[in-house]
Amino acid sequence: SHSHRKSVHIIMSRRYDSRTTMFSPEGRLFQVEYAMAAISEAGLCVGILAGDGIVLAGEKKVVSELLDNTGTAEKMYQIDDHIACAVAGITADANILINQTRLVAQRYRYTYQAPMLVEQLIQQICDTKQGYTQYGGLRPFGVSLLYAGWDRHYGFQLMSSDPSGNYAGWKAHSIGAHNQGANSILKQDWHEGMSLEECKKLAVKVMSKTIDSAGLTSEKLEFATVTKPGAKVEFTLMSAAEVDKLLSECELIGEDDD
Amino acid sequence: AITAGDVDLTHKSRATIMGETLLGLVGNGWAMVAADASAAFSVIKLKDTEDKIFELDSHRVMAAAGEPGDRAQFCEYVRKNLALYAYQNQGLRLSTHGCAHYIRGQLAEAIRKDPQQVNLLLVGYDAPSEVLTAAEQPDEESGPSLYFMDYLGNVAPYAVHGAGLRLLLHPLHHGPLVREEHGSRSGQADHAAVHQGSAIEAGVEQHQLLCQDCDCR
Repeated sequence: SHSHRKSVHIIMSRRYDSRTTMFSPEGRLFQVEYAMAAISEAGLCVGILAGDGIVLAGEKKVVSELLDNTGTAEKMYQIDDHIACAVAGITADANILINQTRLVAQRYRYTYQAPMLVEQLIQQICDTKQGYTQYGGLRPFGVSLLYAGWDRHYGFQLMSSDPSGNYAGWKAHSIGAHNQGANSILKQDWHEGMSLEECKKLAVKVMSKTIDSAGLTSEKLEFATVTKPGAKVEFTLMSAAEVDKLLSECELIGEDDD
Repeated sequence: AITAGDVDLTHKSRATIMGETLLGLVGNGWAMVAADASAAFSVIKLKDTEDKIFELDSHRVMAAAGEPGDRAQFCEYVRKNLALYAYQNQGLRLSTHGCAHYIRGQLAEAIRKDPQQVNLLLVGYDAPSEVLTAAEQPDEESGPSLYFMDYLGNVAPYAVHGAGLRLLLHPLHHGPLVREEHGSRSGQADHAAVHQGSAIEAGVEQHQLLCQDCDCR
């Protein structure tokens, strides 16, 4: 039911809600907007581009001592050797999309015997997302993604995509709950030439100031990095111990700054 | 005797099935492909001005031998797909390596559905990556390169097709030989002479040479 909506167009939009592929008279696609609303309830994801790599951070929503999930991450996924992503939205939808991105990446490798360019991959998956807003009568994917990748033409890249199928490249960006607040902190604090370590600390700062949570621990946060220490690109999902260590380093610094 | 350095290149050769010859060479900062210019029907020479060298894009050239219709059509198909790739990717061209494997994939599929009677030599020059460090280059996607592809979908980074198979050919010989002795552009003139000399020995009459180097001439 839509009783909680405060839209001015409450009467008008009801007629155009149920058909995902119909425009409203004002030219809006409501199902796409509703998908974005679903994502604004999802755990925050932050991505920051450093000179020597990319940091991805995610707020976990499913937190329970009874969870038996060692090894699998809730927010971070690897797509190919050189591309990874963080997810905000309906996890089940994200799984489908990520599976498709992985297929696309491997098909490209099979045809050209070379890794796909980051932007090429995102373009293709966004074309898929766009299809769900135009034909088929199926609802859009309720997922926004932050992609972190490296290729030999453009180096490290951070990109995001949303349910409409639009994508953009970023130096620092966040998606999910309270992302506007997070984005404004990033706007203030990000600058050219930051190292990966500085970006990790900035990610912690953004998370701690944005998420309403009593105390941040590795239970609530996931961190991953995409770096290129040698010839190969590496995707590293930080362990719980490493996350706690990073958080404690920041808390010590944070107390002095504040 | 025709020699290149210490290697004696004088060989007699017999015509192969197609009687065509393609030759490719890679040097220090350049790559070259040569093809004969005859079009024949069994023992009848139809023409000796046939152009078998196709420019795929500004940095890649392909020499093709085999059935004339398939030759023209397949090369045009590859050329157009390469152009499409560039348009889809903001002007970024596919590397020679990527191109060779794309072509190989097309031929491998075709062999069991719609066989194309073409044997190909692809040469190209790729600018080094601005992102990779100097220590990581040259990698397989930068600098000059040469690929051999045949109608079955084989691909290999060395090359001769047809009658020319009897001529040069030891990768062991022409590899280091080319790089050390013909490292400059003036060496290309020597190469042309080698080609013409050895090809004439094989009974091939005309040549076309297209050179790709850092200036992409």
